[in-house]
Amino acid sequence: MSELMTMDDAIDYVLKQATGLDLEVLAHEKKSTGVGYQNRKVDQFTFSETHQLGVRILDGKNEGVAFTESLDRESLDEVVAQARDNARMIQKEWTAELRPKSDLPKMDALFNPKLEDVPVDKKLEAAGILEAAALDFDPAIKAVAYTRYSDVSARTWIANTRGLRGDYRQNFCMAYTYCVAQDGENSVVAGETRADRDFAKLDPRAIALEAAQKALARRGAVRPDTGVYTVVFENRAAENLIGLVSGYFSGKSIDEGTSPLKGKLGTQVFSPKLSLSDDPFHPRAGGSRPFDEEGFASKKTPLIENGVVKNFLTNSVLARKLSLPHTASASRSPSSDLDVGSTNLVVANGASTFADLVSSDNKVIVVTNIQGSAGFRATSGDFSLPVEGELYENGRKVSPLKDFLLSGNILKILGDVEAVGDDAKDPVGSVISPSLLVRGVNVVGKS
Amino acid sequence: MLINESVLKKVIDAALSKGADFAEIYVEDTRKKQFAFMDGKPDKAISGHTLGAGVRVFRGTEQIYVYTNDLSEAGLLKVARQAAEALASSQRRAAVAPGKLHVFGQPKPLKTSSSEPQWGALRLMNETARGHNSLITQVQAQLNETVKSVHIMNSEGIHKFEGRNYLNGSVFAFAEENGQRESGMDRTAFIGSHEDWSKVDFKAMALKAAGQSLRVLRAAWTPAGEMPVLLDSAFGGVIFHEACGHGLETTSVAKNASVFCGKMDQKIAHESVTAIDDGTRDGDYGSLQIDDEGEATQKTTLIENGILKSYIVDKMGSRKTGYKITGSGRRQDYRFAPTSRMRNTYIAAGPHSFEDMIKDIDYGLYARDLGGGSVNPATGSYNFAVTEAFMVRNGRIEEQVKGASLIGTGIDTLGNIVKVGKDLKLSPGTCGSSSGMIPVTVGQPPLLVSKLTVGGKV
Repeated sequence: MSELMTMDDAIDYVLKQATGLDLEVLAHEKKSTGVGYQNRKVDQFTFSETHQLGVRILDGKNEGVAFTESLDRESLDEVVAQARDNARMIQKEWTAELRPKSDLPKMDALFNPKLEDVPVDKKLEAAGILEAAALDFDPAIKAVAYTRYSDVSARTWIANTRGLRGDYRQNFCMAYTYCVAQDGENSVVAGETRADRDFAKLDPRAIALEAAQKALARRGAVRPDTGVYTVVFENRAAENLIGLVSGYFSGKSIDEGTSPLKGKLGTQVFSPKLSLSDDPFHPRAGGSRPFDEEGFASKKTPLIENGVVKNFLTNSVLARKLSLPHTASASRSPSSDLDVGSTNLVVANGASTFADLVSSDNKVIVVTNIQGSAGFRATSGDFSLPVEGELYENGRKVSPLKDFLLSGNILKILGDVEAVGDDAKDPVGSVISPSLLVRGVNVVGKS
Repeated sequence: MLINESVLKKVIDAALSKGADFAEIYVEDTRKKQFAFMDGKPDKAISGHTLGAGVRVFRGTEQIYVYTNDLSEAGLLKVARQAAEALASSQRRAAVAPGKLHVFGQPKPLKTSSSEPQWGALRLMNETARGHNSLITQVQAQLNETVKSVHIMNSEGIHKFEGRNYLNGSVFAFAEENGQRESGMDRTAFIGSHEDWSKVDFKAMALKAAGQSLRVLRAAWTPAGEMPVLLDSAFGGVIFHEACGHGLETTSVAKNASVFCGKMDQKIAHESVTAIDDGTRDGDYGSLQIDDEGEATQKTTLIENGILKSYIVDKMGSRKTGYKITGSGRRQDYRFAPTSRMRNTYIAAGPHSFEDMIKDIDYGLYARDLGGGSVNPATGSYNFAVTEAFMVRNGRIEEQVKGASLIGTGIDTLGNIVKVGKDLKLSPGTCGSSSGMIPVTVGQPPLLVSKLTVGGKV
């Protein structure tokens, strides 16, 4: 193995090897720290420094991709040769073009220099509090099943043989605690996750206490009777629900005919109460970025306006092929080929308070958590999903609910939204939604 | 050997220099190739090389893990010292001198010449699925080849190398009729190199995917409720994987976050249930010769005639619980510290014929093929999706239904397995947990569960 290069030198070296071909480099460097406690002792403490460099070669309609994690000359020569070989095998229907040299925008809000300087001792202390504050809160908290403080600092580069070159940095910290509470002979589990770009604002004690309180509140949960109910998807569960349809707006899945929204542009598919946008500028959300993975400046794109499908997400190739607006939604990693994807999906807040939503009928089930998406069939939108929740009667919480499912079709559910809350929370990922009220939902519990 | 032995020894020594009582280095070199077909033509060809190392140190039950792509001597010593510093104390331990390197097979390299056999297989799947019925409007097919070398040394004398070759492929068929769309899929995954693609019946895979998409397209919703469920063999084994397997991993047991804590040698399942986690099965997707801690893989009986006989134990899990290591320390790659994970997990064959089990059901569900699922080990609540299902009435299989998911709790379900069939089959999958995504198989003979909650139309 020859000497390892810095990422900037490796990018320069690879661009020089293109010899007459269009070549694009997408590269990442990442540093991370993670700390978990168990029984008040450090359980696992992880540091890392990694990088990955991906090459995409265009030769007319031919296109090939290869990637490496080794930045020595032999590996870089090999990655270019492999991308070239792969390009010989793949002929696309439409010719992709590299973006010519341009000024790439900045997005300073994604990187907080202070987070880089947080001493390790402070991270260890935060991780300890995430567990200890929950264990000390109440003797009924018998264990903390999962807890972790982590932070990631990443730098992304894009460069091509047409002279385009830019990079941006982003960092964030995240913490979670999931508590196990004794409930008679059984156990219940609940937790809290928060993310921030400012370490000082990530309050580990508050996270631990909220997790403990949520777990204690799950005690005494019962199964609801099977039936048709008015359901409120609480904000975090509503985020899960919206996440299920994120792929439906992909221009690629429209082109391939695998999205149920094919042919629905400009039509009223969703509830008139529902508006959704793809917003790459949200300063706290996980999907924000100054430019996409072809190097086009990010744009905010309305996807649903008052229930009408307004746009599909496109990269430069799909915009031309489908004659749709170019939304700068190119998505790829160093190890994948060109696709499209959403950045942050944001549901517009409505006017209803959470109290309004849970008072909308005598009996309302609030869904607090969707427990896995294996029961969702994306092609048809049909789902049968296990959930957790709470029963409200006349606006008051009566009992936590467990061991039940919701069944239906995602387009029908999002078409039947009758009211939208005003309570979207700070994001922990890349979907943001207030609570949503839907009537007539199939609930499967006790027969 | 990926790294010179003298460099590895220096790394172990540096990692032990500040008071750790155990140190390990795991080095990995993986090459991958992906071929994908879409819209009736080749769509993707992607090659990749991942290369990295992770250094792990223990002091008691504290664990430090540091990983990097920098495999130079300086790079590896840097991460070893970082790991050591994180456990800094005044003590210094000596490593046991590593034995001679044990090599468990060299991996077969990825083929560099023509990829025509792979494209031929993908073309065949595309043409077969589309030719099956004119309602098939799209076919996505993919083949992946992975060549992985792992090299492990630790301070207790382990020094081992294993080459691993994996193949996996999938096909999705999309059907459309009267504005309704559905998809069906089939997959294969096993230990093998590119010449072993010849063992796969790609035509059968395509027909299964196409047939499933059409059948589900025309099926009515499953009626919701609690009912007996006959879970068919092979991927039906995901029920044991989710309902019980994850709860037996010491990762959960050590935290007192599993419903199976403190149940060793107790009855936790119906007496007809014997369950095994076996890393030694030849060619199965979850098989290994050594685990990712360098321990020899094993065949572990987890439950024997309903009695809990073993947890799934990795090195740290053994320290925390006192149970003996079962060779179950696994990880996706060098980015993850290993933890206790399943390999090829199945319920052993029983005495009953399929017909014998169906005739016992007055009103229930026959789940022929299952999808993915998940579990909360602390509560034992699990769920998984049913890909293809049929109603059973008066002992007869009747119409196909769609949209079923099954939920239950592990202990209840294990107690409600009332009949175990004769015909054991295994099926590959990918399991995601705290040490990443790893290849596994699940399996069982047909099982009759007396009561499960079936999600569907109310």
